Amino acid sequence: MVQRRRLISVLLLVALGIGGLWYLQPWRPRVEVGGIKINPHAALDPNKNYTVVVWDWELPLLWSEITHAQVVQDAVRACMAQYPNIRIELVVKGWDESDQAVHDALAGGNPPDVLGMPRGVRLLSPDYQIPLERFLTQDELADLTTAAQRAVTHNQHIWAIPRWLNPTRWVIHTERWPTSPDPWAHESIPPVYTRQEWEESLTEARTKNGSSGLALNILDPWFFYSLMVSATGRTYLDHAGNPQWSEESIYQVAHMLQTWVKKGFIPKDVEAAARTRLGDYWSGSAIALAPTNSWLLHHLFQRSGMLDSPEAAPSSPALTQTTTAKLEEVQRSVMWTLPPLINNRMAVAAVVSGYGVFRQAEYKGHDHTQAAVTVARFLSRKLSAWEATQLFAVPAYYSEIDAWITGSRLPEQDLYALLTWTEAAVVAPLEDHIARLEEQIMLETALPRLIHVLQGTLTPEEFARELVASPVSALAEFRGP
Amino acid sequence: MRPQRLWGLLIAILLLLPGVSRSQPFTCGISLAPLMPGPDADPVDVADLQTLLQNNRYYFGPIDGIYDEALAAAVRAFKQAQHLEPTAVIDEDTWSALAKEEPSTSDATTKPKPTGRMRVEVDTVRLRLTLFVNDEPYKSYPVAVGKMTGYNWSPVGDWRIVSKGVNWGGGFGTRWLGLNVPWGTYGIHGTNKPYSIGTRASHGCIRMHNRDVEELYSWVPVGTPVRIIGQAPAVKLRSQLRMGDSGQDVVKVQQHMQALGLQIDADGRYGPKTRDQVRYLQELYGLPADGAIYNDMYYLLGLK
Repeated sequence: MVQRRRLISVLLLVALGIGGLWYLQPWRPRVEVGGIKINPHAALDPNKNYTVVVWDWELPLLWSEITHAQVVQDAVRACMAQYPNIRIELVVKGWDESDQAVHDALAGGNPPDVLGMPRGVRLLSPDYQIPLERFLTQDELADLTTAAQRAVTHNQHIWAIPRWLNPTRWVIHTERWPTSPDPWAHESIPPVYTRQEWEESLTEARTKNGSSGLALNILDPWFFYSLMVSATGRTYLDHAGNPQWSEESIYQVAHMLQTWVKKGFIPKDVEAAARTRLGDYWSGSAIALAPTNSWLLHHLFQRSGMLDSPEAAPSSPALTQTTTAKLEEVQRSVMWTLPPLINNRMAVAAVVSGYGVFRQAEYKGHDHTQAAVTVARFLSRKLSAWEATQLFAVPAYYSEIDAWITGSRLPEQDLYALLTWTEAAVVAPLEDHIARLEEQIMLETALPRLIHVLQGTLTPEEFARELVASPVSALAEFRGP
Repeated sequence: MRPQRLWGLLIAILLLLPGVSRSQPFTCGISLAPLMPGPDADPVDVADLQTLLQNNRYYFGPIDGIYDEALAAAVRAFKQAQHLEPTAVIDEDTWSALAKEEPSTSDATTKPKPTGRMRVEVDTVRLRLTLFVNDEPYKSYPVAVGKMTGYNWSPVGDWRIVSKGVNWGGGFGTRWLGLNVPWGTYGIHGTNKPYSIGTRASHGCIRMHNRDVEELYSWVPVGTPVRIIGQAPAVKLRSQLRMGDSGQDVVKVQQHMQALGLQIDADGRYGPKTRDQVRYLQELYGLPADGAIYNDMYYLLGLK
């Protein structure tokens, strides 16, 4: 009798244990977000209808026959066709619309299920934003480019499903570039130059053809920021808001720019120069132009005729002699390169775009979260190559690279260079408040003080000291009393 | 009554007359004053007179724009035959008698008054004016547009009807629809020279047959958008354009912004909307964002 009771007890314990294991699934850990333990392996209920709210921002692709909003809408329709029990409520916001609505929605505990972040992935709220690494299969993770995956990862969590990476680039005027009359001649991909090579080329160009040097918009904070990333391989602030740029590195870059002003490579009147750089570039009086973004690159390539040539993007693998000649012909005036390599380091400031997934204060269930991730995953993959093609960026998926090369109107060499450079991408800190603090200090402190350096009213040493000290006071102010 | 008060009263009366003194279209180059013999007579009008008299077989001299005694004699003979006072003065009645109203080549003669959102488009290449209702072509009319010389070009751009006038007579015909072109007074009007319709004959205004402009006049209200398309004269670009500026170079800039897909009227006025759209472009392309047009903006817009 006693033995029988013991046996029943043991069986009960075993059953409880199995039940507990089955329920808790320790080999499949939950994802905790703001106190909610989300099961990343929950399945969609085929008998249930889901409504997923998606917010995205429209990219104003002024050159495209079809608007970005239309493309996103098409992707949404395709997603709903593939998952008939998911209904998507899409809100496409204008490019110049602020992200205040997102912050308001988060403050109210009611963010959209899926949020497009084309200006840069951010960790907006650890209470609502869902880390996604456990939602992705091994195959999906393996298909994400290393650079894209790294760019959306913080503290070993993936905070968005990436769409594309867009590294910063400078542009050189190949007809005036003195290092080689044809920079393509000895390179398989567009070359990258060190600081010393830049200075040699600028000096030689001035002697040979009277070039005034660089056509710069120093008023764009991104210019200095990307140079510093190039010099240090790091963003200005780390994830705790501490400065990562040393006084020495800031001094080095500021001194380089000051030297370029003294040598006449950069005009002292930065205000006027920022408004005449396209004219200087196209008239040939400047041999390089910086900084650029996707829109400016499009202007440069279109004006140079690169985007008109059907041969500009020959199919892989080999280029015929004719198409190579054609490439050289259309490539004459514009070629992209990286900002100067400082300290011989390959580090490129970049923007990563992606879809974040959020829960709401009133949790809608594991299967609803799964539906939101399904939509984010679908849209990301659907838009990745097309958007990257339009923006001269790089898709976040290895499997989309071929489509991207085919869809691009640029020479393969440029695209391979872009792929290579993207591997060295450094994106802004993911934490929203740190990224905003960085932007604020760049705009309000670094930029006006740098202008003083270039005008000779502030020394590079003083500038470096001020910039290193800035986050301490700014962070305190930013976080409030 | 003291002379100052008399003048004040006269000015007040003129200002109260809708669409007459305030919007008298000097840019059209059409004079409301009667044409009289002598060296002061407008040679363009005189040439028109010579042509009309020649068509009526009363004048066989040269078309030289000179109102001499031979022409005056022809005018007197014509007026006598038309039972008008046989003088050499060409007034409104004389112009009307000289002008044989030619049949209009509008695409339909009778159509009901349209309802819906109306806009007018004038094609200075095809020499047609089309009325659109809810973005669908409703009716099309032949027109005469500006000569493509000097200051005679029709103002290409996006305008609005800002005034309406009736029976000004003479070169304006029976109806006048004034446009808000900032650098001059232009309009759509009738004519006493119907033979000029279908040609580039005006000083910039859009001429229509009187019966056509009367119909259009009765349909379109003040505020109706009028887009004039076609070739525009080469304009000199100012080194900078900013809020408050106006002119043909502003139209050019606005048209190039339209080509980029921006929602903006090419109305030649650099107002807040133009400034905001310029700033938007500048931010997009990474240029200094001050809302003004400077050298690099001309490059960006393809104007340099």
